[in-house]
Amino acid sequence: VQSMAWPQQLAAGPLVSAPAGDAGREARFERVFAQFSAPIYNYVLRMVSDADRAADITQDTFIKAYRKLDTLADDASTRSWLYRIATNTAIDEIRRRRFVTPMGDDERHHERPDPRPGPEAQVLGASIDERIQRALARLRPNHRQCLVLSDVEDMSATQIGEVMGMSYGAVRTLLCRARGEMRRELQREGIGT
Amino acid sequence: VRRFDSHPDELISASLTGDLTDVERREFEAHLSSCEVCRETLEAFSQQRQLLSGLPVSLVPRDLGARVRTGIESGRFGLPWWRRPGGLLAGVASLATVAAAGVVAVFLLNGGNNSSQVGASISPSTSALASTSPTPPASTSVPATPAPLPMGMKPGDLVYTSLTGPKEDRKLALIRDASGDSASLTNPSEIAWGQPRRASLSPDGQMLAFATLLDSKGTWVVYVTYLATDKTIQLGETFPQAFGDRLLWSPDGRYLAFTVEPVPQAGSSDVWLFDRSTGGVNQVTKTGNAYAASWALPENGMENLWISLGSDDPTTVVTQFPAADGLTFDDLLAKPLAKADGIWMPLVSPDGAKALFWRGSMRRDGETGWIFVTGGLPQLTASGSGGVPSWSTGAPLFGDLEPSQAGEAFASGDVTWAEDSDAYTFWAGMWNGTPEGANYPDQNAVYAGRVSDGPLTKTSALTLGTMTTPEGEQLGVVDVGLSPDGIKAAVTLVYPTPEFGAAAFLRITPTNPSGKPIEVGSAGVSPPPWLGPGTYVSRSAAP
Repeated sequence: VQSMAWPQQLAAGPLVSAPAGDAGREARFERVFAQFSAPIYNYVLRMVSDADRAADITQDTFIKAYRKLDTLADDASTRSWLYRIATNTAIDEIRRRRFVTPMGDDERHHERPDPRPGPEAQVLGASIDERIQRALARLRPNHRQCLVLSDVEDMSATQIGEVMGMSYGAVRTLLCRARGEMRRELQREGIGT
Repeated sequence: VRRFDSHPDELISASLTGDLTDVERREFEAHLSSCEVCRETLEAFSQQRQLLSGLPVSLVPRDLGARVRTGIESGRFGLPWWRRPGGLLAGVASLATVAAAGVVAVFLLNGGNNSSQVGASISPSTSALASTSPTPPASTSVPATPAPLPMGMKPGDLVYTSLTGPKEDRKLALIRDASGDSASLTNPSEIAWGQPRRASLSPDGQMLAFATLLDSKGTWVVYVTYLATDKTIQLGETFPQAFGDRLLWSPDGRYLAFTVEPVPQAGSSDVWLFDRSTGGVNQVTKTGNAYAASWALPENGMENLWISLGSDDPTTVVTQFPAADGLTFDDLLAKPLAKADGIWMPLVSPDGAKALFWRGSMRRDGETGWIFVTGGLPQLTASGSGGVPSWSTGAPLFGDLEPSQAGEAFASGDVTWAEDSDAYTFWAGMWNGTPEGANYPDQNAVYAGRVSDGPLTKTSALTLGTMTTPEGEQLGVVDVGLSPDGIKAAVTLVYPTPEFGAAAFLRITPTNPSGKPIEVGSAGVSPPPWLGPGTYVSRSAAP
């Protein structure tokens, strides 16, 4: 009774085939990892202020980088390419962490609101580095990100734009806002004018 | 020299990194010599830069290299955050615990006529879930004459799920938007309701299929409710996968097709069918790489179901079974009717003439299942008949997106058709290619289009309203329902809350670009409710 005119073979090859394997791929990845694992880990650490999370995110960053290695056009662009992956991975983790906290997890919920003393009360008890990191941690993620890329990683607005997927002009504006916000947060920590 | 209306903080900031043009620098220096405030700002910004650049550098964890290597070999990869249960580590740990305890492959059913065919792997320790009473539903067949619609629903109405109350006493209800009428759903299990993530009314409006995220276990639980009798059946439990989230009612409304991955990270997904006439549920593929893609239109008493098979080069096959016989088979893939090489997850329009589908090269990932590595661009074809798309006439769904040099594009994404078979949406697109400008494509945007209007572009993104809560929490899109005429989209937006883990807004937004969204629901309720997903009553449902 099957009168339906199903074509027996509706073939349609893929538009883009997977890139061929590269014998030098492993060696190339090893070089990338050796050169960038420390900078990326430290960059992510500035972003999330937690060593365990930073290690997880760095791990995921390099796993993704390995998988995407064929998309890396030339070694000159490795740095911004890798920071872009790390940035997206970190932002994704930050979002994920905030969005889907387990519902039955009482411990975690009881941590809110943060019972620790406010920044002013903590000033005396913390080193200057801890206070800077704390101020940084209170910035919005995109402010924190562009400030770290600029002032810690010493990237230009153009390079930051490549990492964050933003125009040169948008980066300059964002960076200016981030510096203003950081100035206020540092003041709360008793640093700067 | 230009005079500045206000203090040029942006130039001060840019001067620190040498990001000034010659003209800007001259203007800025001239201004600085006469402005005390700007000199102070420059001083503060410079000091800030020095402080940040002087932060101590931390040593990389010693095991990082080994962890990366293990991750590469084991296929660890991230799910989009809104699919993830719990925090990263918590999620991984809980899945590992579940696996270690052997509490896996949980697939539950209402029993009925098919108990010999399913549920063989239910673990005793899941008795709380398995205690579901296997009473067959009151109505045992799809009625020949349409029954009155439940809850006073009318064709074209929006209904949505609403999860409210404290976590120890969570209530799930279905609400009719037009009237506010609400019907609470009876939980068939002792485990509290999870967050509703998908909802789909059967074409006759009598059945609701829905899936919830059970955070405590990291699983999606798939249910159906016979709305006339408030009988809810838990169909199964699955670990979420990127393309495994479709709840598909057959065009005649008798069968529901869905995808189950019973074991976390095993990458074994198969298609299951639910038969509302008998209440039975069956696994109907056994290959471990099968996904329920779409129904084609029935013909000559046969149901036709498209099933996609994950592999580096995916394939989609169409399978067939007699509509009247129920689930008398357990391997639909034994005799596939036809296949389409290189095609992934077609979603056929309700009129059977159009389809949204994917092409590209894929990879199986432990957490997400099959996702695209290269070439992952959704396509649209408007030529086809009876649910057999003409693949060769497919054109890119987005007119302004191209794969990166190496072919990277979307890893995954979701699509929805409106009942008019013209309007559609694309959302939750995980873009791996080179961004085409700031935040485009955006995984938190809903892109809406019409076949008659040409491809989607950056400007096809719907206006979703404020994407942060008053507390500054970012919203994320979890589901989109389109009205039958395609002029409205019901968008469910999740946000984190301390009391609830997460809550959700439901916003109804017009699909024309200038439309403004209307928020459904109850402000000021504590704990905040989870509203959505929304699903529309078919125009063909009985009034």
